[in-house]
Amino acid sequence: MNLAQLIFNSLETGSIYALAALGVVLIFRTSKTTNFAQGMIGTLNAYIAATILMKWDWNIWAVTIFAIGTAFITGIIIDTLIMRPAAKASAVSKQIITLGIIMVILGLIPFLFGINNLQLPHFIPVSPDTKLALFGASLNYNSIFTISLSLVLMGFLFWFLKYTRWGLAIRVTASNEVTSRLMGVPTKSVTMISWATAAMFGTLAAIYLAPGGSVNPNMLVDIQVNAFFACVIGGFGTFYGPVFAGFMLATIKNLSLAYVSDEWGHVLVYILILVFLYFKPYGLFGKKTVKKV
Amino acid sequence: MNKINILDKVKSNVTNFFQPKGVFDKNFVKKPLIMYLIFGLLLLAIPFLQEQGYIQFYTMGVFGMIIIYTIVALGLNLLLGYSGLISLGTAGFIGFGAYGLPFFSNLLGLNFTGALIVTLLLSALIGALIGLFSLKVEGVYLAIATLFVGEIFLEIFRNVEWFTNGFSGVKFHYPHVILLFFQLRITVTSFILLVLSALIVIALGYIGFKKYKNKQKSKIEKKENRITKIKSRLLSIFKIALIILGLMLVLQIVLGEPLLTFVQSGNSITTTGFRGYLKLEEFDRNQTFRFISLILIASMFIIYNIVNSRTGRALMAMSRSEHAAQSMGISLMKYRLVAFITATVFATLAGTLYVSWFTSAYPDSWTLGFSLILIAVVVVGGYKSIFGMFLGALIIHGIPTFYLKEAFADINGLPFIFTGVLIIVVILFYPYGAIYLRHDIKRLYRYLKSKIIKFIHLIKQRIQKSNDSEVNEDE
Amino acid sequence: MSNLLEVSNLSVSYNVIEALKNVSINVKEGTIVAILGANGGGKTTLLKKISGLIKSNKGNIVFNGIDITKLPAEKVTQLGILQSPEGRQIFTDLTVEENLRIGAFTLKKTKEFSKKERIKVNLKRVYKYFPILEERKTQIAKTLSGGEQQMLAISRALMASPKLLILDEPSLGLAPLIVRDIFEIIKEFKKEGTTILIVEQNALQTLKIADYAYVLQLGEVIIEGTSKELMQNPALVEAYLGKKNK
Ligand SMILES: Nc1ncnc2c1ncn2[C@@H]1O[C@H](COP(=O)(O)OP(=O)(O)OP(=O)(O)O)[C@@H](O)[C@H]1O
Ligand SMILES: [Mg+2]
Repeated sequence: MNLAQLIFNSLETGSIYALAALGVVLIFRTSKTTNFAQGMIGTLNAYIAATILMKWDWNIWAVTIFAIGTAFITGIIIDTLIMRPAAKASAVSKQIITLGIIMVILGLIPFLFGINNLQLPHFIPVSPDTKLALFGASLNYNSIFTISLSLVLMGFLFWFLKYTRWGLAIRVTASNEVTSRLMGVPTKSVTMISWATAAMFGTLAAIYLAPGGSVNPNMLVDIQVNAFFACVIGGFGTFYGPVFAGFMLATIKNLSLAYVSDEWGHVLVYILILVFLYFKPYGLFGKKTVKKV
Repeated sequence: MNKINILDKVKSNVTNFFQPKGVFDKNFVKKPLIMYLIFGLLLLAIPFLQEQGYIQFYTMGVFGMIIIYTIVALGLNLLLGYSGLISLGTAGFIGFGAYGLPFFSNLLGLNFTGALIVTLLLSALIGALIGLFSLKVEGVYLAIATLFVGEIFLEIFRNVEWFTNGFSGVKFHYPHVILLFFQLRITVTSFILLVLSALIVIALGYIGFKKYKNKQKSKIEKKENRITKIKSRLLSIFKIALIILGLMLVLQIVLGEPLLTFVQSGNSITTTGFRGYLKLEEFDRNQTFRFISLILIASMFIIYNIVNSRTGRALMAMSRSEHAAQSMGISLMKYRLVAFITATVFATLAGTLYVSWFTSAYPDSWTLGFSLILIAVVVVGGYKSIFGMFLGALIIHGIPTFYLKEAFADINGLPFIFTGVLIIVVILFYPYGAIYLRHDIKRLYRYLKSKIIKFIHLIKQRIQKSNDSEVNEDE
Repeated sequence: MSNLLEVSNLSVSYNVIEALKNVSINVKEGTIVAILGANGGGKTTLLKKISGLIKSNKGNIVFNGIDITKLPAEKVTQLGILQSPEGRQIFTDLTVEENLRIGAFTLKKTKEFSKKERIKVNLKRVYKYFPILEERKTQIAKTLSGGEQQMLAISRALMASPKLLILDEPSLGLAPLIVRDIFEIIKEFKKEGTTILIVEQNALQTLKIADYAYVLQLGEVIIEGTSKELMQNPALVEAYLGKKNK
């Protein structure tokens, strides 16, 4: 595989990592917990998409929009029904609650959708005609589309966070929840919207990935893990750090697999990251938060 | 008047029922170490019950897994419960145990014990590295760093074929270790003997305890002296029995010839005598079960000792405030090392038991999902609790596999929904773990008890009144 | 003048500690009311309760004719009670101007002005009072000096054009000169028609600008009266307000 192809592929994987990582930070900053269930929530909605596509014969665009809608609702339900009553629980307990959510969804999937893996098509059918040759790399239109859509979505989110009133509300909630309430910010709604947004990102990641394999309960496990990795590399302190790190991680992993070793490529990258973390314990863009004694 | 006497008796019977004063004095049984022993005996009964056909082979398999879960959770609790640190790489360490043991015994030609020691040492080394790492990196960053470690293990399990045989997995056998009573094939007699000797240990402990208590006795308890006398006579019989038993065992070992002959039942052959013990026979399934049960009890002892020592107090002080603890002169490094090494070694130990119990291991078992489930065992069972870990494992692994899978075999996924909902409910309503259920049960118990006693008191008063009026009428 | 805020028979406790016992205070529209008292008197607790951050055991709070006793903080703020909390609590990782903008979160548009225009007007207004904030407007708030952070905290609350402005120890940790400036500016706020409830340690200086004052000790109102009455009470001045302030 040539370098251009490698970078292009990394861009595609990276955009999925980045999307998922953004969901993770969003929830971490507003709910003070690492959401292990994000991947599973995405998977659940990908199942919904695939089932509707099969049963009602909708096209991929329509089911994607529909699934994004159900993801939004899933996020809101989980926040109001489960996370809010647990607001006073410790950080670890909250993490375990998201594990509980994983298990419930894991049990619901065969119940609702049967035990078979499902399929979703590409947005743009992949064939020799729908490809672009560039610097010796072949880029299919579908990948170009997914990369662009992710970039546009993330760009929109950053613009939203930076320049709108509600974006500011999200940032202040992330910074200091109690004082935000004193300023009249309905922090509960902000948290709810964060869960909904993260669920939508997860769902989109699942729908991107499905055509390459299948819609199955474990389809997002790898993405989820790498999203966490992107978050520590970029630091939980900013929203852009994890996004940047998501692309970086995908590229480095691919390079290492190609040029170092199939067997040890990932292991090497992970060890290097641990070493990096030892010297920069709050990630690339992170700062030490003041800790109360 | 007679009526009142009868009621008094009823009342004292009720109080006695709630506050038993028999040989198994409540406070004595409450001593944790004795409780572990009793618990161990209960576990040892499982293979026996299986042999006698009371429980299924499958059920024993699940119990084996529950024990393995419990051992991991005991170590993990030292991190999560006592030190307030989270580890997402636990599954990796279990996997390391499961692969390390076959690897070091097959490839390096070590025997079971040797391979076990090498595996555990390596795991301790990695644990120490993480402990050092944790001095620099904290909070969610540390948690995800441990996830890196877990993923590194997983990558190795999947890709490094010479170590793990890749996706086809490794095969192993039941352990063979020189250990006295595990070599004995369990027969009815030998099981009774086991129970007997355990009772003796308990009784001995009781004597010691009672003596200590006697010193503090007040006058009110004088009337109990008579009972104590009878008891001590009984106990001295126990003592003599123990001495005889001990002598027999010593003679048996020294002479190498069986002095105790067990009844042979069916096709189970009794291995007795010194030579038999040295033969290093491979265990059968039941012996393996007893072996891992013993390890569990030993683990409980070890954790109990760690958390009730200076180390345990230091760990808890640190979980409250590192800076404050450090300023009190507690060395962060030392205790971080203790916490991480214990957690990783226990996980690896459990992994070696896993491969010994199931005799095979595959790479996809050791994912983040598995690590999370183990954290759930600790959280559901109860932070800072030892028995809670078994309870947690029973709830998280046992209930879904035992009950739900059989009862609702046709409803897919129900066990998962059950566990998931349970986890959420326990955290919302029992934030310190299911082990605290017993406080609620106790409260209910006390409530009912006071109600019953009140009720009796009320009736008694009524009767007294009616008696009084009778007396009045008589006059 | 009518009462803008009426607190009656309020009791608040933290587990076993009774932080407020049967406290009643009134704040008349267009006045400055001061709450004084030694450390641990329950002043911050009272303000937190008014803003809806904590729960009370007993009593009720009426603002502008609306019972706000059980309202959550964000709802209370939407009614027009803005607090500059103890210890400033600015959003350290945001810029100065973003801090000010979030203060205007509850600002609504009026007939004449859109929301944007009102924010602009209010920004101008606070920049007029604290020109230094305008100079620093793109700077990350964490990098401000303590005094500047205090100015930012006050300005942030002012950005919402509150009906009632609550200040918890605005002079904490500031140099005497700056304290004097801030008190002057608070007087200006009053002239513009804002009602102010202020908690202070700096008793005499506060009484100079306040119309009415309460002294809280161990959770109870032990003295109340107009500022003049309080200042003329020598025993009080000595016991609770410290004579050295003169
Ligand atoms: N979160 C809390 N938990 C328990 N007790 C608290 C809490 N907050 C305040 N207290 C107690 O309530 C009492 C009143 O506290 P409060 O902060 O209202 O005092 P204050 O008058 O503002 O004091 P200062 O002048 O020092 O700011 C104090 O005894 C304090 O210890
Ligand atoms: Mg205060």
